[in-house]
Amino acid sequence: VTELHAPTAPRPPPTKRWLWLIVGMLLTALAIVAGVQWRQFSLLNASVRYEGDNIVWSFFQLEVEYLKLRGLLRDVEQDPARLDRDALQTRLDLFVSRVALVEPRRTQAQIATQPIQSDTVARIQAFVARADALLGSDPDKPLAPAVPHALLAQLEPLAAPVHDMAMWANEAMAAQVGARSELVRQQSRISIAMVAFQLLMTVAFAAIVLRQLRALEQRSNALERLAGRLQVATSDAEAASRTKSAFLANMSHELRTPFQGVLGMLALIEDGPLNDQQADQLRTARESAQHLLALLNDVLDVSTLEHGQVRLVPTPTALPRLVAEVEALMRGPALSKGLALRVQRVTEVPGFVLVDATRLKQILFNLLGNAIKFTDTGAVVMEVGVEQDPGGPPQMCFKVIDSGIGMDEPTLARLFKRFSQGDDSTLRRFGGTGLGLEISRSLARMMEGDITVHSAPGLGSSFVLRVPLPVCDAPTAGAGLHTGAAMVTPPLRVLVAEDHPINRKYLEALLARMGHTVTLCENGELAAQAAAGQDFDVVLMDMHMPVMDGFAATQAIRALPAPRGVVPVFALTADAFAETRERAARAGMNDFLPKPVQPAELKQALNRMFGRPVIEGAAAAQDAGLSVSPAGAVRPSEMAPAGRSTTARPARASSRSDPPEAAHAKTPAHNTAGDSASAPVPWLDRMAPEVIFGDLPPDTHATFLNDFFEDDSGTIARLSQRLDGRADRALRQAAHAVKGVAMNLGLTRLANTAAVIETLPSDTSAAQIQALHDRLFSELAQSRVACLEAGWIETPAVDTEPA
Amino acid sequence: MPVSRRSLLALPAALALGALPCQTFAIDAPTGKVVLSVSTSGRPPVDFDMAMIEKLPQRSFTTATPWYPEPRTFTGPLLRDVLAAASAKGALLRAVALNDYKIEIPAADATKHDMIVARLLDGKPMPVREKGPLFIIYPFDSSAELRSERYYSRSAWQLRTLEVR
Repeated sequence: VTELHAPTAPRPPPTKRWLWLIVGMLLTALAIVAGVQWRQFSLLNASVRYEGDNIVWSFFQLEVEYLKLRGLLRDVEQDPARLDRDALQTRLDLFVSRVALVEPRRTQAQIATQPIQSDTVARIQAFVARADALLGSDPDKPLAPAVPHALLAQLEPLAAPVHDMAMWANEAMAAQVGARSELVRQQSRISIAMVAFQLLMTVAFAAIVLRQLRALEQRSNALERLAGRLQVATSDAEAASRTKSAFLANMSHELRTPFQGVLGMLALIEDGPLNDQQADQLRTARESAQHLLALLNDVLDVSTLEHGQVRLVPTPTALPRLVAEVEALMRGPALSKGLALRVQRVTEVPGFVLVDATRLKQILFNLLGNAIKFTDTGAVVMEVGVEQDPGGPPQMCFKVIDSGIGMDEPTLARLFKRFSQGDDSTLRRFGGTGLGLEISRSLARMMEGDITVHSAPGLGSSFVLRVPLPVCDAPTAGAGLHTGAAMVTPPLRVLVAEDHPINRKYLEALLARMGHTVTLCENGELAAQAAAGQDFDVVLMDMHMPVMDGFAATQAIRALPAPRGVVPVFALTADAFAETRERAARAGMNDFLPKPVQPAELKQALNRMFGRPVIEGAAAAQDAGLSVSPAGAVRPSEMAPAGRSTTARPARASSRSDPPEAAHAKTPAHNTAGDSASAPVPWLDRMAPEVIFGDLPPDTHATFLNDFFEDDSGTIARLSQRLDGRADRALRQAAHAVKGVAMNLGLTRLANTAAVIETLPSDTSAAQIQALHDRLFSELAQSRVACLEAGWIETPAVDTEPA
Repeated sequence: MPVSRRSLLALPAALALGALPCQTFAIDAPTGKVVLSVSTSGRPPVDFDMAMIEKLPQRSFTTATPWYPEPRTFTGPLLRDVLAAASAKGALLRAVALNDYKIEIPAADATKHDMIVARLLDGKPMPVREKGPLFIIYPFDSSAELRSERYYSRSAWQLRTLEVR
């Protein structure tokens, strides 16, 4: 690769050297040309200076004046009468004036002086001296006739030298001009050569620049190609990642579908007649299956955490209650191993904190579950307290201490790493994916906290979870009852769309046992046809099906005219990805059930939508106008997230939320709250505890009251949301739910107000609704006080006593 | 602006032109030897002897010339004064020397340059042997334009006659 790239690689040093060389040569050439032109300029200047009087012209002028003087003297020689002294003197003066111009000291700058010049000038000067002597200095004195004769005799011999000197000067000057011309020609040649050289250099310069430009272009092309390849590689990688996600989702679906069948069938067999041995074997099979489910859920958790799809939803949460729940659920496993489980408060603990309760519980379940799993004798202790971190917000601190096998340094170092679990022997001994701690730590860090660990072999371990949990006020209305607790779902007409025959069979059995009528379809297309052809109260729709999948089928159903087009549709799916939930919501689905479908979850989901108060009489009387199937579609944001259990979560986790069906059976018709607007309605129905909860454990009523006041199920919150605007059907439904619960619990005044809201005409003004809203919350608070006074509940709401 | 500048420049020129008619010198008949004749076609020539030339306003300056190795001082009347004294007007002057050397000089030169008809060299009269008695001299040092063969050749020495056309 390197060799391939070498030719295109830039090598600036040699090119730079060439450029500098060319620049240097160009500058030299320019300097030479400038020098030559300066010399030519100087030459021209010199010649101009002496042009003032042409030298050769001066020599010939001298000869002319000589000839004129000689002519005058010859005339006088022939005719002495013509002698004019003034004229003679002027001629002589003119001749003399020309002599000065040809003296060597004046001409030597241009013509090298020769004997012919100096001798002749000397002879002329001698003649002038003699002539001046002959003529004398007095201009008025007449000249003797002999004087011109003598002058002529002196002048005649000068004719040849004067002429020869003129000829010599002419030749010398011509040679000079020739030499100068030759010089100019030579310099012109140099100039031309230099210009040609410059041209050559410029061409070379241009060639190098062109080469550079071409190289640059090649490099930029290469870079572009590289960028293109990188882009392709990036999108390939992204596509691969998407494929991986899809694979995970599909795989989980494929794994969980038969799994649902296993669990479902096991549950059905457990209900049948069994001998002890079979029951034991079945229990083992169910526990194994549930363990497998836990592992599968861990894998899904990791994959969703990895994709950043897990979002925390902090809500005001009663911390003591949360701790008590965790403790209650972990006590069973601890007891079954003969371990003591103690939960201790080491400092004051705030009543309410803002936290994602599900995720916090998940972490605590994991830590406690691990502690129990790795401890054979002794105790597992959880200390709960607040740590005041100097310079930071106070942190909630959960410390889980066990007296188990402990860990050595190398094990601690690998502890939170994926797939690592103590060592291989531990893995064989205890099983598990080893993902639990990694998930817990990821969640703790998402909450801006962390998990630390201290341990030594044989000395047990202590895991500490620290999270900054903002203290908050109790929610405006207390959390309610588990919806299922006091609600019951009437018999429904259920359409089930599920491709897998075992799952179909399982769901059919499950729903039938709950008293519902079931219609089964093998795929989405058949389901859409069935939903178009007859009325159903609810549709359970598997997402992955042949022919037409659940999304398309739901869209097809939503395209039907009302009421068949608005039938509630619950999604059934094995993948827990947030995308899938969003897609389901977009397709128009109302709720979301993770597979394998647990009986409790299905019951809860149905209750959420169809639940009616246990006291049928009063409700039925007021419900005359309402159809059995409520139409209010749950908005996507309200869709319940798929609750994931955790590694250590016991299989019985959901048992507590099972509604006391006995209550249903024993509920007598009972009503005090009706249309009583005249007399002041009493706050409480003193008979309720005995009539409704008489056969149940003694603290059940109190627990349900606390649940209701803390609004765990959001019953009051939903009504509060609806109380902001119009008196529509959604408001009536929400009020109806509150009314039912309040009546069951014996909160007569509150039930009465809820009944008023439920029967509001649709043109009620917003102000009136607001007034009722205020009244409802005021009465809620006062009902709580009344319950306290009556001894139905104790303050504070719930506390956790050490075991 | 250009208008006002031009008018400012025009002021001294107008004064100079206005001064010309005032310098109508009385032309006496020459009493000595005639050294300069100014001829205008259609009129008899006006002759000057040296005394008449001396009486005209004299101007003196020192300048380098091609004929002497060092700068020399020349003295004499301005050529335009001489022409005015002879009431000679024309576009072209022809200078004729004692030896019949002839050279043509544009009359504009006389107004444009302060050229003089020199009669003294370094304060002394010039004999014929030293390019006298009269020598037309341009103020060569005043302008680079004048230091060229064209003006050197127009500087006639041993001046004898000016023909005005």
